[in-house]
Amino acid sequence: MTARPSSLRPATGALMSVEEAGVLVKSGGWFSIAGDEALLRRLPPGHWIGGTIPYFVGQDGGRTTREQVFVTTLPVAAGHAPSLRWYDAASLPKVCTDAPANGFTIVVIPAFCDLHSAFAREAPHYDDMYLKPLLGWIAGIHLDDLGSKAPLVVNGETGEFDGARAIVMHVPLPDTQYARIDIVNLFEQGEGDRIRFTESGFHARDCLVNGKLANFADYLTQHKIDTRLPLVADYSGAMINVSVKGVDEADRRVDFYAPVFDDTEYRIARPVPDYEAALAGALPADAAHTAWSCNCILNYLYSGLEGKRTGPITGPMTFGEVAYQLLNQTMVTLSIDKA
Amino acid sequence: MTGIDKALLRQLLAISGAWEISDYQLEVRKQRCDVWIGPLVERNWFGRPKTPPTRGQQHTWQHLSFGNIRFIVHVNAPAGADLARLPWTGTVGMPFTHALAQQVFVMFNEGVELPAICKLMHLSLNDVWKYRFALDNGLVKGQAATPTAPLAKPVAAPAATTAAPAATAAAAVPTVDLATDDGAVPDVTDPVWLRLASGDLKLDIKVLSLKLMLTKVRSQLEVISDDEVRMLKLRDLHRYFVKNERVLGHELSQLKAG
Repeated sequence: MTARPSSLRPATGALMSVEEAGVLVKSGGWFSIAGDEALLRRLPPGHWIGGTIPYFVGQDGGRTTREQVFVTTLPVAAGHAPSLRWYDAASLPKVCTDAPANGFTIVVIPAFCDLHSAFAREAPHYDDMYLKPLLGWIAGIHLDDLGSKAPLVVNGETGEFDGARAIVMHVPLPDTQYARIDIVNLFEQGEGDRIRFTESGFHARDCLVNGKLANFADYLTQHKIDTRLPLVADYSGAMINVSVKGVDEADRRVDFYAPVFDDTEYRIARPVPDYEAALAGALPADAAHTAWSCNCILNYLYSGLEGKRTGPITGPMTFGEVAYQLLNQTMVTLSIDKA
Repeated sequence: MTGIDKALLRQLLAISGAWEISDYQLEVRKQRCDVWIGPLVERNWFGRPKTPPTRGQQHTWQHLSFGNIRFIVHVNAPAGADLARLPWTGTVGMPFTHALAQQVFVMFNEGVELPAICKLMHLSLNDVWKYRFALDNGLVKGQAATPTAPLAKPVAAPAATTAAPAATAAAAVPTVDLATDDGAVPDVTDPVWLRLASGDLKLDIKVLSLKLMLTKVRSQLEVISDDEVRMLKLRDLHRYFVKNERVLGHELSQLKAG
């Protein structure tokens, strides 16, 4: 069996059978691979990192599948071999200082583990954070498997799977190139109330609504807020989302997919009526040259992306995205530019 | 256990005033010396305390090393004791004495990365990060010995000695070309950095990492009142611009015009 030519695969990757992926892996090259655990375990050893997830926007549009894996060939320059390594809670804060002086770093973290939470809270404070391109995604599972299976990440060189550590690939680039990370977030701050939280974390009870103390769960319920809309913070012009995981009315508590920070002001997002159309208009002009991308499972579900495309960009639909720090409901892209 | 003259130890640790070394434990093999310090106790002819020593609050800090021996001081501080000016004490809850914290702060100012600081000074990453976190959140003051000078070239981090692949080890050595005074990036002492960090100067920013970095620095400056720590944050911002100069043309042109 041969793999389809790279000219027929989107630059950001494609869905394919595990057999075809195996051919690619064996042919050399460096890859980022996403798919169901059973399929990932059938792949041969090689230069790849991976994580579990069954949701994708592939070359034919959005697809939920346990029958195919998603493979992205990473932009690696001759003579600049990447390196793979595991990171745990003690070492992950050094991920940026370990990163190449010129290049990029991809991190894949299993959802729900302590490391996921720690990264979400602490990444902005990592040494060298924002100085070196860091991107990646949070590995997940099929929603039907919640409670029965655990997300896993993979070191393709050793065949090792892990549900508690992060797998990282550091990719150096020659001085003639540099990596650029961008995000495409269709959500903007709405015109509603200004919200601040009294504590940072993945849960919230108390908050300040326009400066007045309130319970956030009560606020969402009383104002009939559509919790598919994320909270949006303005980071010097970058719109950063925090998605609502659930509202526990009995406990008067709101849970999030990323932490809220007590030094940040949020507003409920303005709705996006047609995600596919809006995304097509928001993609940069050079989207076809994107080297890697991921997007959020919440966008996939809430915006009904099954069967729909996201422009020329393909990728896994993940349980969280990484563009330096943890993001929600956001597309992350990697491009390689000429210096 | 190796013996040391307590008077010599008192000299080495620069202990003066109404303080004494009540005990010490030097373990050469472990490269560690623990020193217990408390208020000076009046003693009788036989060297015994005239009154029982008062037990105050107990604090432990890592102090400056001598040779390859780490010194850990355990201080018995009576209620109301002013420890702020004593170099062999520290801030309660912090891992280092003022003297050691001063050296670490100088390293931060010079742009030395955390792993390199740990390696050069034989400090745990946990402790250095705890100190850095406290600085970033305005919980402690900076402790530069001299007024901060314009940013010198960062000290190159030594190559990693952990079992990391060669590519990663090589990448641990920074190869960033620094802007000189004639470069596109304004000098760190230029007032434009404070204007940018405080929000007084607004830029049209295209680069995601700068948006995130600037947000972090502005948030930190809101809680940091100490001038030296604030300067440290501005150096971080300057260092970011130096590192990413080639992608920040749009922003740098506004910075220079501002």
